Amino acid sequence: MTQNFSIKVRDLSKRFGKTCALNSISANIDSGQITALLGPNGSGKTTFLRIISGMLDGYTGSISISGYSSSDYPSLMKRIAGYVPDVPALYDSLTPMEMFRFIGSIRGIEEREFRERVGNLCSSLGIGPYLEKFIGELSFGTRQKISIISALIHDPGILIMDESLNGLDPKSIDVVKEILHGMVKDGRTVILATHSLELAEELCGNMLVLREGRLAGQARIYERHGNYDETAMLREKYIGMTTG
Amino acid sequence: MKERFALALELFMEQRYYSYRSQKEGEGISESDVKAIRKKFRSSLLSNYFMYAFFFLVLSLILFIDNYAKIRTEFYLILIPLYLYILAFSAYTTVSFLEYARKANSVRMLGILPVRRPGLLLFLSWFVYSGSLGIFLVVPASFFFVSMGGSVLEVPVQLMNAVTSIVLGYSLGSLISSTRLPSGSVRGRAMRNLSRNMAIAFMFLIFYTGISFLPSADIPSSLFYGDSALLYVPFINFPYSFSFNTYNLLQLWQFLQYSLYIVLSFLVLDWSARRGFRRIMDGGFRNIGQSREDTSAVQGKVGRGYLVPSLIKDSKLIIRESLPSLLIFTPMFLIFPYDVSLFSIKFSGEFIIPFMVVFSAMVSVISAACYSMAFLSAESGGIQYLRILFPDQNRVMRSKMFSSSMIFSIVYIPMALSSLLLSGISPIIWPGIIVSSVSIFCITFLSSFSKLLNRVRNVLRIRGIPSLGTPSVIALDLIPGSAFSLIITIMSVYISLLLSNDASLAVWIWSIISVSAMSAIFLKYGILKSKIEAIGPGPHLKEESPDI
Repeated sequence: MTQNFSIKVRDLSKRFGKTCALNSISANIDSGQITALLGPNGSGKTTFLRIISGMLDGYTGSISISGYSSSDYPSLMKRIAGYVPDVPALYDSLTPMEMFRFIGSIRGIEEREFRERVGNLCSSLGIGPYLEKFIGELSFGTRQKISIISALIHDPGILIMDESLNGLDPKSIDVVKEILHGMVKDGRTVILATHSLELAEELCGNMLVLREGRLAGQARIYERHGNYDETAMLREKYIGMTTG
Repeated sequence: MKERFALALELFMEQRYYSYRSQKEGEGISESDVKAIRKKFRSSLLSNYFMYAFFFLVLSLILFIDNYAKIRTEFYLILIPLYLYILAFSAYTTVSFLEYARKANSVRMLGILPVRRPGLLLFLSWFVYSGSLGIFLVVPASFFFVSMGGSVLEVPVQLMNAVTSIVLGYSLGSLISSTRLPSGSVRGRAMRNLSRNMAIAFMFLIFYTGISFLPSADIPSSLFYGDSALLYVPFINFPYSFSFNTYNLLQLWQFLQYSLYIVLSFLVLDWSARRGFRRIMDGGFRNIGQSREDTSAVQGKVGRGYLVPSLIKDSKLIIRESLPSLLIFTPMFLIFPYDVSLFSIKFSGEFIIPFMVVFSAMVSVISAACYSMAFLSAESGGIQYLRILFPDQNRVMRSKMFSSSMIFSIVYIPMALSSLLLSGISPIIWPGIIVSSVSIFCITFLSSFSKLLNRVRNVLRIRGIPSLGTPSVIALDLIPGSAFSLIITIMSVYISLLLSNDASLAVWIWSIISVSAMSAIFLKYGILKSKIEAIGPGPHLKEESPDI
């Protein structure tokens, strides 16, 4: 039976001191879809993603996953979600393998399952040559791949990606796209924050647009075959939402 | 020169800005606040500087008064420990300064700007805001010495020695900080890094305390102070008595040695500052390990639960970073000089046990404060994994306390046993002292760590200890736990002295109070909760109660 990993957000607000980062956002994020999170710089995308991934507290409003409220089940999101930040923040003085093992241990993943999953991910993203090097010595793109693998180790039901395809080589981007398609085919939920409308148009079924901490709009992206005119339509829709 | 000085000031300000942004107070500051922020930095830097200056002045005066009787004949005996203290302080602040500069990329602009000797510019930046504080340790003692009839010419000589100690402290810190993880297999790298750091420190100490080992009947030599070029200074009677006309070859030799020592110190500074700067620019890691084209490296066991995997991870992080790897040896640095003094001067009498109780508590409290900073700063970019992987903060606290108390016990217990053995205290009460010390460590660590963790609760990356706040801000976080631990220790000693003449009673009362207080703190932070499983593997929702 396919499980439901839909997310409902109601009146979500967050302040950092005097600055209001998110202002009363309400949105539905469907299961089995890739949802694009769009918006200009400083619109609150990262704050929104960090809150729903369970990394950031001190907000008002409610979040529920498959009908389970995050205030009643505070660790639920941490258990079922994987989060990839925009800039890979990792343990610089561990090797990727040591880091994967640590995450695997904390998540209680079985040995056989761990080897199979990490092996496949490392192989498809080309991480093999770097498994025994310190993360601090690796390039940005390689660190981003490690960050992506770290978020996928436990086979998450919800994947949250914050502009995480930046810095990846074209082959790896294709691999990640394949992984995302595989996830939504299984009925899982993917949220992808991006500035690339082409990527949103190509991958996503829905889009949420934030502007100055508010939800500027939520819409479906109907066509997804990537020709120029459709992207241009999406661009117009986006500009309309963010400048109106 | 003026421009270089302005740039040096700007570098430190830039670093303060980065650390401010990574704290709770710095969240959400807007560009329009820049003026206010700069003003705030300036005042925070100044208040911090004056706080340390005041503390050092008081320390200098205390040492002076304490040694009042010796002051006329053995002025240098007061100054030598102060120089060693300046060296240690300078080395520590340098490692902290350079590590932060590397992690925060706060001095990257020096690689682009056409600046000559950028390493020395970094030194200047550090010296203005941190290094120059060491002078305050020497100034009051020197002036009091003069006011009591000493030669006024001692003052500039001692100031020169203080500056030399600062310079050597920076060089030492710079060398420790620029020690990179060596190439080779992953196994054993940590130990090599650690032993390399210790070897550098040791070699430096030899250089510092004794550039010359020429025996001289005029120069007092002892186990504590060594036989150093610095010790020659009072005997040279510089510059009055020393005269080429007297053809005093010994004095001429000593003067030349001292001059050589000063020149060498500044040459070492130039070399180590360049090395430290290069390390910052190249990011600090060296290619290591064999490349593998396959994924056969997916080996090793996946642990169970979170305590042991966290201990393994924490140990690796701590031991592979320069500053945390120094901080975990705090108990050793504190106990070793005491052991040396016990070795040469046999303490006796009824106060040795109460003294050991208070001394052990002090070691635990200071170590816990240092460990809490080391364990949090070592998290660096991985801080977000503490939030993602652990369901709540209590579990983060539990894992950190487990890791820190294990490492503390490994470092502390052998040193404590050596002190107890040398002090001649009955072995029956040794377990009481050790258990209580570890309890005091846990109490202070939990209190300090939770407060520091709260300071960085929303940041994505911790860039070294400065990310946790200025020293005065960090001190504010560390004071409550430390004060509580010391109060219960002093209370135990006081109660035991009221109840009985048997000093060993103090240990047992201390044990009972400290273990009870630790249990209370464990309850407060949920350390004793029976549910200690990991966050759980699967993404799949159960029909009922999906929470773990």
